[in-house]
Amino acid sequence: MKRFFRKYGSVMRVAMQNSTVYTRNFIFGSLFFCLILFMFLQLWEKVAGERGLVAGYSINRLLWYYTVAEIVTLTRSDMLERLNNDIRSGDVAIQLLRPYQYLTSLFADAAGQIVLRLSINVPIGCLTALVLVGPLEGFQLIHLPFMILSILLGLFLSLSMEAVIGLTAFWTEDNSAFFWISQKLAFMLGLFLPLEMLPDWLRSIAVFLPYPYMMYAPARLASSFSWAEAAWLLPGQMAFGIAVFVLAQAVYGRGARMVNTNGG
Amino acid sequence: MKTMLTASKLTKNYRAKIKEPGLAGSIRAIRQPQYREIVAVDEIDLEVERGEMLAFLGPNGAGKSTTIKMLTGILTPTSGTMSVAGLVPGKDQRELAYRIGSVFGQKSMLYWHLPALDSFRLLGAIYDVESNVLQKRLDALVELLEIGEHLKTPVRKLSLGERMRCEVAASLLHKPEILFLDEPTIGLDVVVKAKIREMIRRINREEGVTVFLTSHDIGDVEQLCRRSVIINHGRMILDSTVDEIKRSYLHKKVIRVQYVMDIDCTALEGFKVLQCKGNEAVLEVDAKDSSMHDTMGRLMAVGEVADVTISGMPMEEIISAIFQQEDSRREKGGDDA
Repeated sequence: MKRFFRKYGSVMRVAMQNSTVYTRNFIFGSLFFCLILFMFLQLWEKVAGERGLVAGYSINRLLWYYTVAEIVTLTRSDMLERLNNDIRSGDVAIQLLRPYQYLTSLFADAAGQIVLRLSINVPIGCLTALVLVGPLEGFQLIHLPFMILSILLGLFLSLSMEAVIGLTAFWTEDNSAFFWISQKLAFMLGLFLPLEMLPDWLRSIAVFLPYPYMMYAPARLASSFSWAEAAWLLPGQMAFGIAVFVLAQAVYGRGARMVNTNGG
Repeated sequence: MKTMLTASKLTKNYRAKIKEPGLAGSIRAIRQPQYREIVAVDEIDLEVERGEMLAFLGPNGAGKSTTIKMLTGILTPTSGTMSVAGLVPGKDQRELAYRIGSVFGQKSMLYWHLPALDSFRLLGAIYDVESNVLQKRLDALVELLEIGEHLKTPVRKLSLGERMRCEVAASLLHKPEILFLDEPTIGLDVVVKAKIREMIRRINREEGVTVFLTSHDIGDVEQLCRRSVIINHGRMILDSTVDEIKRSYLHKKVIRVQYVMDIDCTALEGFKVLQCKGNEAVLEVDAKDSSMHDTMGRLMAVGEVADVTISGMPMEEIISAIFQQEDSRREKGGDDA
């Protein structure tokens, strides 16, 4: 176990170091984050009108919803690009020579990037929301650990989904269409539209898909925490996170066997 | 155990999709895909002694990389058996990973934006090298490969030669017993090539690391290896010492003659003239066709000789001649069939 943590902990640490090289990207990303929150505020203020409510969300709660949803979205690693690049260039075959599990090392690498990006996106997002709409209504400190857990589970699920899509590069020349569809589903089922804004029939389908558990779950729990919702959203996130991670491992296993048979 | 690597009747076949040209061909390939079997490596037998430096040569597509991939456990052979450091590649893969090192000239093991030292520390952790052991090992490799001043420079800012020395160091951190070098001097200038070769020689001599080298650069082979195996079209066509290969082709000589005065090049009729200009001529002669005594006599009859240099065929041409012989033998075999 000590070896496992030393091995993958080192991968994570080096990934964090490597990410610091892209400081300019971080700065532009942060500016985009502030801008998008401002645009959301303008949009939803118009929609809410004098009532000041949209699908049960006050403007304050809605902006905090988008802040958390965007934190999860913008805290992306380069997992998809790495997989595409390693598989297409044949580098994945070289990785198989090392005494570690390649996919686990990619998750450790992504975790390193995510920690660094979270440390920038969380303060920027919270500060912007504070300036635009003030502190979150009804916030209680006791909810905070569950909010953090939900954000981490959402990130893990998004990462596992990216891994599954990236690993399809073993069989397809271009998997950007899969990513595009997945991204749009995540956008419509949580990032841009909270489930409360969807028609009932679509909402009843959406809860059986992994997408709402990526952005909607953490954003909902952060903006309008209730124990009843936490009781189904958190287990849902865990279940989908584990299921998609296991699927990624299975897809990787098949891909690695293909490399063993056909070469990199 | 004296033998480091053995392979017996090692074979790898691939299935490649056949697609006829045009849209109709593409549609047919989807509806009724057809495949053809490609024999990438065909019953290769190999034995490499511990501490040996072996050159594994062949033209592009000969099956060199496929063989290396099988020996390192990346690829599963279609048939045949093999053993590296007493382990079976593929089957004992995790254990084998700790015992082998590899440098693939066109693929980097180092993080591009970080100093090489960070990558070394990461690789040390991946290969479970204890921190204090890693430090000692690093100190030794820094001295051996003369990379001390480059350790803290981001890899992207290193020259190709400096980077390659760091790549070699990265591959040796875990003290592998055998080092697979795939085109280690590709793209390097002559001075750096010489330096890298010297490093490889020292690693072999001082650490007893077995070296399995593939290269298109005959200089690597001549200066590093005593034995070479040549493969073409997946089959082994020669397994001999580098000296023996040279000797078998030594009857071909290249003679550079410098005359005191300009000469008439037509007077060299009967020789294979590679170059003739002013007072200098370069010829290729086959000692089997005429004795060196006769040849020199004829050359001296052309004019007053100021200087003569006689050299053997360059190794590159020898290897190329071996490939050509093999190709024409195959073609003949095919015609006969």
